[in-house]
Amino acid sequence: MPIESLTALAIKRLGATKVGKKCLEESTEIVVFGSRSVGLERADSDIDILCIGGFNLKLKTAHLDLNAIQTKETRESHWLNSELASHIAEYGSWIKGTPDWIVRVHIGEEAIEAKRRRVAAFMRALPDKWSGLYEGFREKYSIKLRRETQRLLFLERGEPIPPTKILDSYWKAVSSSSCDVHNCLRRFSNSHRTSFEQDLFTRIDLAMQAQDSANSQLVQGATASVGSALYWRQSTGLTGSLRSAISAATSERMSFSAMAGK
Amino acid sequence: MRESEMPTKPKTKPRAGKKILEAINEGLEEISASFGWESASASSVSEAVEKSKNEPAAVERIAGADVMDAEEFDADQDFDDLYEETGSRDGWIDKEEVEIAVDAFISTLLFAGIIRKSKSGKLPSFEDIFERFFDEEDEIVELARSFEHNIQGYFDWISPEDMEAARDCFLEIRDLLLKRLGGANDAN
Repeated sequence: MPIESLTALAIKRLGATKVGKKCLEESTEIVVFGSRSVGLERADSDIDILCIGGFNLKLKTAHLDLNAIQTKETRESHWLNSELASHIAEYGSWIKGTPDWIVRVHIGEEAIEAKRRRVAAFMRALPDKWSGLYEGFREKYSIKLRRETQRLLFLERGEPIPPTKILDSYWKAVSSSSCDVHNCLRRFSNSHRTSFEQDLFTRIDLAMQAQDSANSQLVQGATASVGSALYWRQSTGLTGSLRSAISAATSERMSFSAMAGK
Repeated sequence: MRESEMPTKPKTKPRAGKKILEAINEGLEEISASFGWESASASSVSEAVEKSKNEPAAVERIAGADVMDAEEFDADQDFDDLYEETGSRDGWIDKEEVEIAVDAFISTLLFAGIIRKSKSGKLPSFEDIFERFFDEEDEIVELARSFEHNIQGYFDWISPEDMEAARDCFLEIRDLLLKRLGGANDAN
């Protein structure tokens, strides 16, 4: 999405709520991040916005996920070393203000540790409850655990976590090994070969196979362009920014759409 | 007046009878017992939260909120050991454990046919269970809503204060339910 359209959408969504209007008026920086920022959104995606200014608040609606923080926080290591700050610094699109703090962002050990703790908590609590969970919840946790493990792998590599679409659709294009998710999860497992673990790993494998299947069927459009760009980046061994590859691919999609329009 | 223009009768909610109240109460008791919420008074949990605030490294592991001194943390430390040490620390409960316990409770109600998935296949939430059997303005529904709000956190992080607020809501729901269960027993 061109920055003008993204700005218009952000203003519209913020303007629809009282606190959003306050953020629009009083924030010194407004940043869109997540899938919309890189053009990988679905039609029904919400918009993730960070507002930096004089107050703190969080608001989540069906169309808006808003987080407001104070300017002074952007100077604190708690923020600069966080998972969210590193994601925003890499993938955010500024629609208001100029960031001076992003050059100091660095994924800290505490962010990695927080993610390890989260994966460990799931792996500790799920085995006992697994057989009693309704199928929909088992599916929910298998997706959640896969994504959180993928994010942990990114953080451990010192890389910002990418939008979820990349985790769900192009893992092999950004991963160093096809079994790295399994191996990472096993680090947190107390009892190998349990029925829980077997079921979890089977579900993760099926999700990965579904990615391959979906990617092989795509021939054009933004999704295929992103996939091509990421696979090209991986196959050529280039270590350029993931964001650059995604941006290049989504720009390509826009050019394609513009040409198709003509 | 055509049939389509006739005022429609508002759908009545199924009454939360004794059996339903008992099933919900049983599930809530299981959750509270598994976290020690049943026996823990508000002050003991507050003490645990307060105590954790006084332990910088522990607070960091809980919340990911402050900066941990890199020299104090051995990145190669075995994770199992780390979590065995911290997992059962006084009164602290991970958000993820609560989330799983709540979903197990909802699963039990689904398997028992007490609640159902929506027509679109969406699974019910904790709040949905109470909305299904009680009026929108009922205190118990408000509390269930607050519980979900507090336990949700932001970007997978929840503050000790929000966890304490969630626990308080949960215990209030249980108390209200027990009172109503008592009322249902009296009525029978």
